[in-house]
Amino acid sequence: MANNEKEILLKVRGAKTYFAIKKGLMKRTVGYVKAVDDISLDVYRGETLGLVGESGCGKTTLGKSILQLVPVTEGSMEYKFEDGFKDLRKLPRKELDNARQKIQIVFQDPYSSLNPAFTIFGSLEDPLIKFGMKDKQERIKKIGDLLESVNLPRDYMTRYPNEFSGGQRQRIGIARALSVGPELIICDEAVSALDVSIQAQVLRLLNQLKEEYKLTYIFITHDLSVVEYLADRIAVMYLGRIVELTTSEELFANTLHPYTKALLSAIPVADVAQKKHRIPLQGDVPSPANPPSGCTFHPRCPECQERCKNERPVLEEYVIDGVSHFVSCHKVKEMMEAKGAVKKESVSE
Amino acid sequence: MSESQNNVVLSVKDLHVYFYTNQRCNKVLRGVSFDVKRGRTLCIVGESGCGKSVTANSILRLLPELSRIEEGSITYYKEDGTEIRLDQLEKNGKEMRAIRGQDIAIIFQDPMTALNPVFTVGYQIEEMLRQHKPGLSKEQYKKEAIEDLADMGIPAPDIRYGEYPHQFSGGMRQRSMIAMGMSCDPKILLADEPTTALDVTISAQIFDLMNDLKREHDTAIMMITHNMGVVAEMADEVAVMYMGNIVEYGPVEDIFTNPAHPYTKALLRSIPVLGKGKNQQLEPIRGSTPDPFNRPKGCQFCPRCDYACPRCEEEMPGEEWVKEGHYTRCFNYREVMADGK
Repeated sequence: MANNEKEILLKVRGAKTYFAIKKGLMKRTVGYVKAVDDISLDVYRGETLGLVGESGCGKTTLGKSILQLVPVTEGSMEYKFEDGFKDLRKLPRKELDNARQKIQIVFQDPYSSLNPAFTIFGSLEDPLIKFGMKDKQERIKKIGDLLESVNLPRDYMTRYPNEFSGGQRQRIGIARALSVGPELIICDEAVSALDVSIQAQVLRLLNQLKEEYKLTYIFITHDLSVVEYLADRIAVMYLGRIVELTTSEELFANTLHPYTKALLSAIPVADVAQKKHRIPLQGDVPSPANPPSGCTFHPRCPECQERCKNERPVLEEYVIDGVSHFVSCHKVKEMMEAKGAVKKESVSE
Repeated sequence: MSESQNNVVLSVKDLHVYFYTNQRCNKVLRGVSFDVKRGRTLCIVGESGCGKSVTANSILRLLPELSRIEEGSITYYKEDGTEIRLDQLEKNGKEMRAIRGQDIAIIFQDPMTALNPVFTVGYQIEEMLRQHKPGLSKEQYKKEAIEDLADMGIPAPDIRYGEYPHQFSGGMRQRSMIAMGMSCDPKILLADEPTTALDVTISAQIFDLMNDLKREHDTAIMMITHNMGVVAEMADEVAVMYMGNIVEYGPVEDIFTNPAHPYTKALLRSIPVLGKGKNQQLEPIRGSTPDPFNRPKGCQFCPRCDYACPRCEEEMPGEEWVKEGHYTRCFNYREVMADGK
């Protein structure tokens, strides 16, 4: 797993997306919901990066921030174009449109992401026209090919969304994302709304398309068993921050952050032989408008110390047996220093 | 045998429920039989549209207007030995209303729509008590409602008592739903996807709570879910449903280690299991669930099944007993089981 050999496709540095809370007649800003709070990460070309966390932890907002679908408050998101890295935040409108040809998104709910008044052809032709395919015959051919690549018959393009099942709609959503030839696809809970037997179809399709089109995925989900199956690396988020980021194997074999441990132990596993010890978490996820001081996880953390209450831990990289492992936790840091694990420079400068 | 008979609190036999819409008839349940036992958890698992929720709603007679229990029986065994045929009671009659909530309680999937937004949570719990334990004073009702909230691990229950559902988080709403369900010490708790809308750490809390209730009050739990992980974690017995039938019923260990129905087997193969990494082979079930108005003639799973034979196309298999307490609806179950998991 020599990460330095891999090509970085997207560099996110210190990204913050805050939503203002407005109150009163004058709509004064009384506070901020810190949906994404200082996130730095790299996405390598050809990998699947899983983004996991509970609802409200900011995983969807991070996905939307990368696409500039929500106004980003601070930080940079540099994407590697043919002519080098460019910050998506600073691109002029026109260039941003072109950038979106490289980065596409598949939404969670296949029932609301397709316009019911348009045929599948109508829904899928818009991005093609936008990116310069003016000839209708050409578009028909292209859309037919796209439908075939997601295992749907060509002639389905004349049908309307209500004629399709959830799994089929999700595949149409994937076909739409593929239509402009993207390099990076952000899948926002792409399989969460589907029945289990259909989920497997879509998951396999995603893996197959990744090989075929040399895609990179950012896979946002709350379901760790799905992400374990798909992802090369996994980032665990809690209240707008990344608490742990490492390869999929390492995360499950050597879980370090107390939150990840609790999250893993809370997941019901479809295997009667695996009876495990559960780490109960007290209480609910705090509101991102008013996060706790210090480490945001400390009120629920079973290993909370005095220091955690006041001092916010930084996401730091440790190298364990040659695998890089980012964790933000005081306790883990102490443990790692005692063990003498090589510590690299922290990514958030 | 008599011992186990005594433990049965609810028995559903050959239940048929049909829905009538637009001059069409949807045979939602086509002969469902199972027993719910005291101090045990029965999990009903299946994909959306297979009739899981309809089963729970027919037990409590909460079915919509244009539907009917056509055949079969639902029998509730009271502690004093009397048997009550729930399917023969009047839907909104006195007896049914006395049982609903008092003896059999239900927790719905989405606590936000199940709770009334314009009443305080405390009032809504009290409503249950007023209905089933009349004659107490106002203070006593309040005291009991606060105790119920405290039992569910809700912090500062006396303050929360006066708050409205929107002030609660998702987990707390679901816990107050359970508090409401448990307020009259029901003998049977029906839980219709109680944690689908919740995060994993919160649903783990809810499951612990339900297991405590089962242990302390000997409550029978019937839980409906689509998540095989939840089944493995919670169930004592499992009923796998497909298109209105229980296709396999048995102890949880048998269902997971030695499934006897092709659907159960295919379902287990199609889900990623945590801890098995990227090397696991996911095998999707081919095709999709049939249109309920245009069903296959014989076995409902036949068009998607690897073990289908000409006989499967013609008739629906009956309940074949694999061993005591484990049945399946498949002609070729021996073959299925011999193939292993």
